[in-house]
Amino acid sequence: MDKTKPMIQVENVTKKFSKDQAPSVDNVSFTAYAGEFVTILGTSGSGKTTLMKMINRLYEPTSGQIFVDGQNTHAQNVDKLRQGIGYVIQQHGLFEHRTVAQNIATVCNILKWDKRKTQKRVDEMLTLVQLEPDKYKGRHPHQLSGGEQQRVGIARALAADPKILLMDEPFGAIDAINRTLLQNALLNIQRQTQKTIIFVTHDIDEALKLGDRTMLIKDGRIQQFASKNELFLKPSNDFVAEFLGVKQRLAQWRYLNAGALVTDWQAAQSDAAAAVSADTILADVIAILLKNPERPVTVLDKDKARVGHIHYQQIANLMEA
Amino acid sequence: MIKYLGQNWQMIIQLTGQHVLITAITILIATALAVPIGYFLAVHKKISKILMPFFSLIYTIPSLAFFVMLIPIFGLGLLPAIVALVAYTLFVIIRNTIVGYQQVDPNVIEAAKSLGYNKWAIIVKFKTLYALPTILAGIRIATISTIGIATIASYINAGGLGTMLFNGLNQNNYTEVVVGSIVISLFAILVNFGLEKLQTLSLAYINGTL
Repeated sequence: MDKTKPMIQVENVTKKFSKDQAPSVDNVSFTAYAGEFVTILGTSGSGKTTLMKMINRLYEPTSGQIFVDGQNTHAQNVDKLRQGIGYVIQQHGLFEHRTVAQNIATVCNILKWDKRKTQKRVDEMLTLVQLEPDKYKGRHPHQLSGGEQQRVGIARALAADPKILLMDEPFGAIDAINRTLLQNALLNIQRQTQKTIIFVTHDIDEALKLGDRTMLIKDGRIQQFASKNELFLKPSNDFVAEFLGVKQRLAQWRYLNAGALVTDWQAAQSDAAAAVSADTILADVIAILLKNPERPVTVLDKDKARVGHIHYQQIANLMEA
Repeated sequence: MIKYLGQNWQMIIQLTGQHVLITAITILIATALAVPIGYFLAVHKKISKILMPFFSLIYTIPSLAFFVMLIPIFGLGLLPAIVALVAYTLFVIIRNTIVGYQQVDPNVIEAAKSLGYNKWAIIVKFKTLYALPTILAGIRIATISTIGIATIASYINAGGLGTMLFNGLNQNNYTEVVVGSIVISLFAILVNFGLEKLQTLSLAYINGTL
């Protein structure tokens, strides 16, 4: 998919819930591209959820405009707009009186899809979220575990094949083990379906793991909107540095890619011999360097057909920083 | 008593029919008024604070006094009885309706909105559905009290099983009083049982445990 096509454009959007209070979202602009996985990271009260809810008009902006797939959301019928945008919340929001199949078929039924087409779609969706269709279709939400409920929530949001998926701390109430499983499942779904995803979370690990780019937000303003490598290496202000800094030492090795540290890129064949590829996490590079500190590790960037090196000294510098 | 029943079964059925009719008309009108009012007041809490004491006040007027008070306006018969009974039951149904709507999980409503249901579908298919058990509980209490108060309405010639009680008392015919009381009680117990079942079923339905 074309990751340069703007899918969500937010332009100078401000949201004030009451006249005498500071705005919850303060003159925010950003663009999310088609097929991009954007995570919005911030503490509670930062305005991250408010910002997201303006995209499907659960909140109306006080000022500013939002375009989805090139169209001004304000000029569209709000129900139609929402039928084209999947939405998943923390408390799953499934309809208890309906079965799993009926829940997933919700938007298909609103759009009056043919019954057979809807049934087929329900099966596909359950398979996509790794739940066995025949086993789960007839169940009610209260008969599912928290993780399964979230999976059904995702299946329901994706059933009518929206281009966009909005997720409001969807895994916030799930235990750590199941959260990891769900995160991996979501990344898988994203790879298969190429949806544009906006994912709100207060969990740094989650935001950095999932997002192609992460938006750090505070007091209703974007502090930085960048890839994780950039956030760590070039934090735009003290807040960003501090926010990520808590876990920085530890996190650097897990999140930074080898490619981000290379400074001496040279063109090379895309199959040139090298120790590691550019997307290897730094922890693995360090493991190699520690065995033989004298020898720099060769890094191969296949996409751009170039090689470079990481020296022991670079790692040492990073540690001192 | 058997003899009394044998001689008067047609009258008893007729009076029971009137009683059912008074109760049914009252509850239908009251529900049709109270549910929309309750929905409105659940949303507009300030107005609710002003209006609810008023409905509560009506509820506290002794029923016989209320019936008699309405005679100069509506005369005798069914009409003043229905007016008074509706005025009474409004409070109970409105109160339960407000609670019912306010208890609906806002997450589920947000989910329904986000999926693209229109405003009316959300009110009917979700808010009202989820508020239904509590509203039904109100209707049940209202119906039982209506059956009771409608007995007194016989005093202003509204008909119904109360007629047997008042006639029996006037003519010292205790068999009539006893039979009348038993029929009214059976009627109330039966209706209570039925509505309780309905309430339980609706609760099981919205919880997906039917």
